[in-house]
Order: sequence, then C-alpha cells, then structure tokens
Amino acid sequence: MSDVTYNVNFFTPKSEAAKANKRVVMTMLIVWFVAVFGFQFMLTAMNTPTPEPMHAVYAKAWPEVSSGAGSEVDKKDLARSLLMVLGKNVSLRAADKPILKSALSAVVRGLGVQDSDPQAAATAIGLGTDGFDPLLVSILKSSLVPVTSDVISDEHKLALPKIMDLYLIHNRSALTDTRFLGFPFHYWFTAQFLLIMFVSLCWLFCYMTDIANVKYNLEQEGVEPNLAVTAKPAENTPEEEKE
Amino acid sequence: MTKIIKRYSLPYYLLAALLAVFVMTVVGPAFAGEAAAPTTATQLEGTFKLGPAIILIIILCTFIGVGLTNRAEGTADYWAAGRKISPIGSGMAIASNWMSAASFLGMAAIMYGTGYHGLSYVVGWTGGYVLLLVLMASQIRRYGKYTAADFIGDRFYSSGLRAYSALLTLAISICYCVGQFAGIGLMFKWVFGMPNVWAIIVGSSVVLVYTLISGMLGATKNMQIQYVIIIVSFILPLILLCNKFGYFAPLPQVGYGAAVSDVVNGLAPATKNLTNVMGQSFATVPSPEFAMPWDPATGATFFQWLAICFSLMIGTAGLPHVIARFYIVPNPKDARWSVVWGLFFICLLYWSAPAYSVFGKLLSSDPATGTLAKDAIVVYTAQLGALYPLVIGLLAAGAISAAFSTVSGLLLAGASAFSHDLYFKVINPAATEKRQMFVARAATVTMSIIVTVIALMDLALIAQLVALAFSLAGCTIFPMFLLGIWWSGSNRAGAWAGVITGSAVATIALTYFVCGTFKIVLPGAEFMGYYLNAWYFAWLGAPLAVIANIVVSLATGCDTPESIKKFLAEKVHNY
Repeated sequence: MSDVTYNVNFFTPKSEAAKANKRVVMTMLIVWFVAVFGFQFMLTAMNTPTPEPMHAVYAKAWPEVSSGAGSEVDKKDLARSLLMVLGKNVSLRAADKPILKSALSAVVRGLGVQDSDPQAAATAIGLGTDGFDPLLVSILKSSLVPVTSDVISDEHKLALPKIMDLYLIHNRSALTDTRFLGFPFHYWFTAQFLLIMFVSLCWLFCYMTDIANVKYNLEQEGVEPNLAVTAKPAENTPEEEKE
Repeated sequence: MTKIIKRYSLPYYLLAALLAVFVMTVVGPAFAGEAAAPTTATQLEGTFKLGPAIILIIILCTFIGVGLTNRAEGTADYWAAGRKISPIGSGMAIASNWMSAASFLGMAAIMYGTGYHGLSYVVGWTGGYVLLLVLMASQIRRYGKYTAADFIGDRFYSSGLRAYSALLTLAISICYCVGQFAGIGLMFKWVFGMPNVWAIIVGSSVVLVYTLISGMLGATKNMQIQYVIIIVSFILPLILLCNKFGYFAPLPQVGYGAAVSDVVNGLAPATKNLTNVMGQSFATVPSPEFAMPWDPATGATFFQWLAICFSLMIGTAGLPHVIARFYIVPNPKDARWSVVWGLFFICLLYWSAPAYSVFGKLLSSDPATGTLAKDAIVVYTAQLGALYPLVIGLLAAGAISAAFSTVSGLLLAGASAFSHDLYFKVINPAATEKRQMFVARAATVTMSIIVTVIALMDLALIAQLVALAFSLAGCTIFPMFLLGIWWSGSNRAGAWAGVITGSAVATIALTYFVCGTFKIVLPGAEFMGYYLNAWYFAWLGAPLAVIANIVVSLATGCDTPESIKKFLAEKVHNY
C-alpha cells in the first residue's frame, strides 16, 4: 500500500461514504455558524443607541439644575431621573452609586428638605402612589446621604452626564423591540431557539449517519471493532522509541 | 441489593426523586416555620437550616450508597465504566457530568450581573456539542482509547506528547474543579451556616471519598441519579415562582419570557401587588440593560460575547473529561446518540437558567435588599420568592449534586491522566493493575488538596473560573484532536508546534490574570485584559495552534507511520 491510499483529509474524501459524510458535516457547520454568529452580527449591525423616556426628562432638567438656574420642576424631574437610575441597583457600578446618591441628596436639599428625611423628600419630589412612585419612594430611603450644600460638586457635575447616558441609553432595534412568546425576540432567539436548534442538528446528524451507515454497509452496529488489536500499531512505534 | 439497583436503576432514581418530594410535602411542614422572615441580605445567608440540611444529607447518603454498590472492580471500571453504559444512561451521565456549579449557579449569576452578555455562556456551553458530535464523537470511540492523552500519545506516536497531554489534563481538571469547589463551599455555607473555609473543606472531603470508592462506574451510576436530582431541583422552584408571581407556570421556560419584558419595560408595584420575603415590592424600574445586547451599562462588548462563546464551544470539544465519556459506551453509534441525549438533558436546564436571573432581578431590585452574592443568586431568588424552605433546600442540594457529579468526573479524568498516561505509559510500564489503582487514588487525593487550596483564594466568579479551563482545553487539546482525527498529514512535530503555541498563549493570558489578581501591573495589562482575557483567550490561541500544527506538519513532511494512517482510514473513518 502506498501513502496515498491511506491519506485522510476531511476536505478530500475518497469513498462515497466519506464524501456523503463531508456534505452532512459541512451543512451542519454552516447552519450552526450562521445561526449562532450570523445572528449576533445582524443584531449588532441593526442596533441603534436608544434613550429611555426618562433620559429626555433628565436631559431637559440637567442643564438648568447644573447651572444653578433650575426651577422646582427641573429639580423634581432631575431627582426622579436620578432615582430611576439608582433603581437599576443590580447593574450599577459601585463607583457610580456615591455620585448618584450625593447628587440626589443635593437636589433634594435644594427642594427644601434639610435633614435627609425620606418621607419629606418624597413629598418634595412629588412622589405619589401611582406607577413606579411607590418603588421610587422605597429607593429613596436607601439613597439619601448627608450633604452640606444644595449644589452638586464640580467633580460630580463632570461625572454625572456620562453616568446617566451609560444607564439610560441602550442598544435597540426591531429585533429587540419585537415580542415573541413574551420575550424580546433577540433574547428568545439566543436563549431558547439556538438551543432547540443545537439539539435538532445533533438529532438530524445521528439520524442521517445511521442511514448512511446502512446504505454504505459501514459500522456494523453492536459489533465493536477489535480496538485492542487495531490500535496496537500506534503504540511502541520505532519513532516513539527514538523519542 | 446491588443487583436489584443495577437491574432496576431507572425506577430506583424515580424512587429517590419521589422520596425527596415526599420529604418536602409531608415531613416539610414540621420545619416550615423554623425561622423568622429575613430583613436584610446577610440574613438570607443566615445560620444552620434544618430542612435543607436533612435533604442534603439524604442525597449525599444516596450518592455514597450508589458509589458503594457500583464500585470499580478494576482499571477498566475505574476509568471507563467497563463500557457498560447505554446511550440514554450515558446521555444522563454526560448531562450530569457537564452541569456543574457553573451551569447551576454560575450562569444565572453572570446573567444577573451582565444580562444578555451572560447568554454567551448558555450558547457556548451547548453549541460546542454540535462540534463535538459532527467532528469527533464517533471517531473518538472508534479509536478506542481510555483517555485523551492516550489518543494523543498514540496518534502522534509520541510518549512526550502523551505525558504533556496528561499534564494538560491535570491542569484543566484542576482549573475546572476550583469553580466547583467554590460552588460546593457556597452551598455548604448556606445550608450549614459554617464558615466558607470549613464549607469548602467538608464539601470537598465528601466528594473525594465517594470518588475514591466508586471510580467511573459508580460515578456514572451516581451521575444518572444526580441528573434527576439536578433537573427536578432546578425546575420545581421555577414552576412555583412562575405560579406565585403570575407567569405561565406549566412551562416556566416559556413563562419567564413575560418576566424578561417586565424587567425591560419596568414593573410597577401595583401591577402584581406582590412582595418578596422581606416585604419589598415585586417590581422594578425600567431596566433595558438587563436584556439589550451588549449594553454599555454592563461593561461587556460584542467582541467579548463572540470570544467567550467561541472559546467555550471549542473548549467543550476539547475537555478531556467530556471526551472520556465517549470511551464508556459500547460502540460509535451509542457515542453519537449519547451526545444527542446528553445535549437534550443539558438543554432542559439551560433553557431554564436565565429565568433565575430574571426573577432574581425582579425580587432584589430594591436597594434595601442589599448586595447579594451573585454566585448564590439561584438560591437567593428562591429564598426571596418565599418558597417553601425544603424546596429551597432541594435547590441547594441540586447545586451541590451538580458540582459533585462534575468534580467526580474531573478527578477521575485527572487521576487517570496521571496514573494511566504518565505513570503506567511513561514512568513504569510494568506496573500491576493494583499499583495503577493505588497511584490513581493517590493522584485523586493530591488533586483535591491542590484544588481546595486554590478555591479558598476566591479568585473569581464560578462561571469565569470554569471558562478558564475551557479556554485552556480549547487552545491545547482541541486542535490536536481536530487535526489528529481529520488529517493524517498532521505529524508529531506539527502537534508539538500546535500545543506549544496554544500553551504559550494560555501562559501569557494566565500570567496577566494572576498578576492582576495580586495587583501587579504588567505592561499592556489593559490591552491584554481585554483581548487575551483569562476567560476567553482560546479565541486567539486555538486558531494559532491549528495554524502552527498545519504549517510545521507541512514543513517537516508527512512522517505519520503507515500503521496509523491505515488505522485512521480504515477503522476510524471507514474510508
């Protein structure tokens, strides 16, 4: 036998069975790759930075309040937007929390609440019992810190816009805004569909391989190759001994 | 009794599951009011919890019992379960072996902290099985060895590569085990209220004892029981959570979709008018960052998502203890179908895992909840949801089962790498079977001690520690298997070039990681921390290793022995 006879190369199969196997494997891999990575590329291509509604409230109030010309309404709006960001408790970076809390406390002080009293602060901001307000009241309780002035420090004035943009602007597209089975579509596709597809691909591969094995009379199922003998030549070869 | 258990194994597992349900529903009320409702995060951790402790002890006793009744009788049993396992049984074992503390606890933890970014772990840890199946599973079984190093040593006709692969297997097993021991410690701490150090030591001692007793055969039987426990304990609390908070409970994997949208759009307190165990509203402000792709607030990027996903996928196909599962089935067909069953069983949990992060988010959005340990968010979610204490106990026991089943497989893979591939094949080929068993058990004990010491350092999140092991496998073992199976032109020199390249990339990434951990700043640390991070360095290392293998093999000429080519062509590929 020459070397050529026994050369194995996935891309240059010799037998019909090997050619069929290559076609199946390539098809599986292409479907797998496109579904997993192709979708993510599409998602990132379609993404557009989209502000939350609360970002508009903040964006309107911030220039006024930070310049010291903010009205009571501006201060209330800014306090509300700060509370909304503080409510993203789990996502907040540790370094951002003190800045947000300090800014909120200064704004609340500017609304006439001197002693960081949460109840008085809630009343001053105008938090009621509708919508998210009860939750914001609860967030307020853990967010007020002692401050000596109603002016936000220069350092925090610099940091705050970046923090607010970071937490209030998100990558969104038609794929994220469409709902399927209650999920945002992209979330369902990645968390659920891809897994269903993986199992399906594996099942299909096994099914097709079983059919091919019968067709080409390969792999006598249930009869194990005499591996102890056939694998033997690979052991104790002269090359290994040399090494 | 042994024969009965072996013959009627499935009913036995169902019986065990029914026993657990019985304990929860009948015995449980006795312990239902054992503690006052917690008011802070630290109280969630609390002290000794009687109900969960009882469940945990029952389950641990079951493991030890099954390990004893199925104990290994020789090296073939110890390493390859005597090749007696059916495809479904092997599928359950694959799933149980696979679903570690990283799957049970770690994935939800990552998603709880970084939202959509965490799904890269879900996809990476499942998508790799497609690669494994279509490229390797039946070929590995046809090659017919005991261990990954066995295959590499034979295929590349090199004792040196065999020894090096055995060392890699040890390193991968140790890295992987560190995350598991951390998870075991976390749960022992939660259940028994013991300090973290003792929790890790006690937990690791128990898993070590039964791994030593049972070997692969007992461990595989246990893995089937562990699978039932893991999946029941994981899904039952979700059904209860969905039911309690008004989502579609019969199929919580679908039901939590509406909860994801609630997190994105915000959920006002009055909408559900429900509270967590601390009396805080089941509500959240709008939090699109939780589900929107690569949200800036999470600090995770598109590149990182792809890199982690790719690294985990190829790591899956290169993990020695996963590859070893294909040696325990009777034939290649069973090897293939065991992947399908295994992946299906795995996906049952992976479809569910994100739900814990979503409910966790909704139940802990009030800052008054305090800071929860992310790695325990699965248990905290059930606790915050005020579920029945014994259901929470079962959940914790499931987490421990998940870690145990993986650790036993990893310790066995590491022990066999040392005893079979290093000691027997390289150091002392004349060793008796008894001697090999002794060395295997000594290696198991030594590995456990090393892992325990590293786990006590608390280096990173569980899922991240495990991802490190995947990257290491992905850029060292995977390229050798891929090219070794599919290209007879890949020779010994090429394999060395590939594995050295992969190892070099891994060494650089790990050096930066370790230095960073100990606050030592190396040049370009920020750049390396992003592009060659310890969790996903295989995105670069694996392609480089494959290229190095091909280039050097071509440059040195094909000197693969004729006998190996013939074996590959005729027996492995049916060419």
